[in-house]
Amino acid sequence: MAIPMESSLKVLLVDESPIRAAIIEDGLREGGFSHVVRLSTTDMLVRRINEIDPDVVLIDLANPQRDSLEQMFQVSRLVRRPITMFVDESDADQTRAAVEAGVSAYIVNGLRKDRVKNIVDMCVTRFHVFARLAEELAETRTALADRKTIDRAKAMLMKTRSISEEEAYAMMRRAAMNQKARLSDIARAIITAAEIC
Amino acid sequence: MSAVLNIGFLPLTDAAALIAAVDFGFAQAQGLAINLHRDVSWANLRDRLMVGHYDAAHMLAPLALAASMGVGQARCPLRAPFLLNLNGNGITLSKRLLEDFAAIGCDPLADWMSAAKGLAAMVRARQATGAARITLATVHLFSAHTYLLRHFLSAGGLDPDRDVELVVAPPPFMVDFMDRGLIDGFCVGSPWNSLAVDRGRGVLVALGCEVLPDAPEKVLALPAQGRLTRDGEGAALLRALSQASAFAADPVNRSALSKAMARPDRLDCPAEVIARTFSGRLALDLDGRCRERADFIRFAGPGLHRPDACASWIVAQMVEAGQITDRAAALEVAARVFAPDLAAAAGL
Repeated sequence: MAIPMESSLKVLLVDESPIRAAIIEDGLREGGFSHVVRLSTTDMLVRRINEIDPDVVLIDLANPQRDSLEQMFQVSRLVRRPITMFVDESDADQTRAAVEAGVSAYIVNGLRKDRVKNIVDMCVTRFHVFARLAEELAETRTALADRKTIDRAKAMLMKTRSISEEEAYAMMRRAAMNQKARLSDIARAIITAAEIC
Repeated sequence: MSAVLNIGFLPLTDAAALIAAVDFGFAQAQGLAINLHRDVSWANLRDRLMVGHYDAAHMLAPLALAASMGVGQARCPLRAPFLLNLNGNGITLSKRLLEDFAAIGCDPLADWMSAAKGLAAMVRARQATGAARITLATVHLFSAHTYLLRHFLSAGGLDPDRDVELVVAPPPFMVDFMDRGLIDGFCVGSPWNSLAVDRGRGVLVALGCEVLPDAPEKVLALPAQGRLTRDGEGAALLRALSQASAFAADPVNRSALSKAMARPDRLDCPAEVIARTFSGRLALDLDGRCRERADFIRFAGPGLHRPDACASWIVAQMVEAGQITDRAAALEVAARVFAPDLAAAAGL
């Protein structure tokens, strides 16, 4: 059997996150893997994989269908080709990196592992990039929500005590320092107290 | 107190001892601090054991052996020193098949053998007309569910490898797949059969304990080279699990334990459904038909937790299902995986 070139390898990417899938697909294309199929559905993977007939499968660890995928590799009457799980004892470091990043890889057609090593490495890197972006987004959202809460509490204090914005802010800062609490926690306490009274 | 132990589990009734050990103080009494992590696949639990994310995990007993042998997956040497439970599974068939059962004059809820024979008659009728094959799902290839379903089919007179299509699907997806006509029924653990019955989507036609009594179900699995196989912590964990299992088996505690297990970070399902699976009184359909078996799911009993008792049973099932051929080699690995030394060290 002729060994397929990178450009002709068909990579199946199963990822519930469309944004992350796009980031990875982009990386695969940059690396010369132009034949990428994305699945983000809850379809029965077994049926779809027989149709798609991929050379490499990359699957998000958050997808509960990994057990289905492994069963299909073991028993499918249609896919009668050697299957290698990329993650095994001989690749301890890469396995750990992949699991930590949240991705698992299967080589479907008996390709030598070193030929797809760069696919997995790229995938691991991009999973980490996505995780960092997601974390930053969550932080930004929290900061934004905190900002709104603080502004609301400040407005309440200004109204009930007839004080200026600076004075209201200083009052909240002092309370936060005295109670070793975050400013947003103090703001929430002020709002809660106002709602109860 | 030593470092925190990370233990992975899937949301199933038979995670009861793990959850009870943490939520009802049995682990703490042994000087252990445990973080439980709910996961989504057995493959994840296996891989996270191998890379050290988890120190121990809830695991299908046959998978612990298959992974250690490297059958159908990369070889992951595990140890399974503690059997968590026997039984707990059931077979649910789609509501859509009820008309077909009625057409052949079969009541699939009369008893499990009626359902098995009725299903076989239905399969034969479909074969004669060239209609689509019946597709049935289990939760994992290497599971008591697979062996249970194969026995059920064989008892009805079918060849599980030729007459039906057997697939694997995640329990949370089963009802959806059944609604979409992708599968006609499934064999899953608790509480997933009861959830499908409650939603009016399927009928429970067989309890696992009726078809294959006292089948070894889940084990506590450890990486063979992990910290728990080396020091006293492993024995302490097994003692905590033994006490937690006795707690789970006592009807007095069912209500409190069901509530703890119902939490969003545990099973995330109604406490009543969990309590029902503990009680062994199972609703078969929405019309109030029930079946009751005291051994529907067993968490405690003399010698129940000793792992060595299940080794030869699992090897025999794997051979019978055509998953392995070398019985002697499998028994040799099984003797290591299910070795009783850790259980003995814990006084079990």
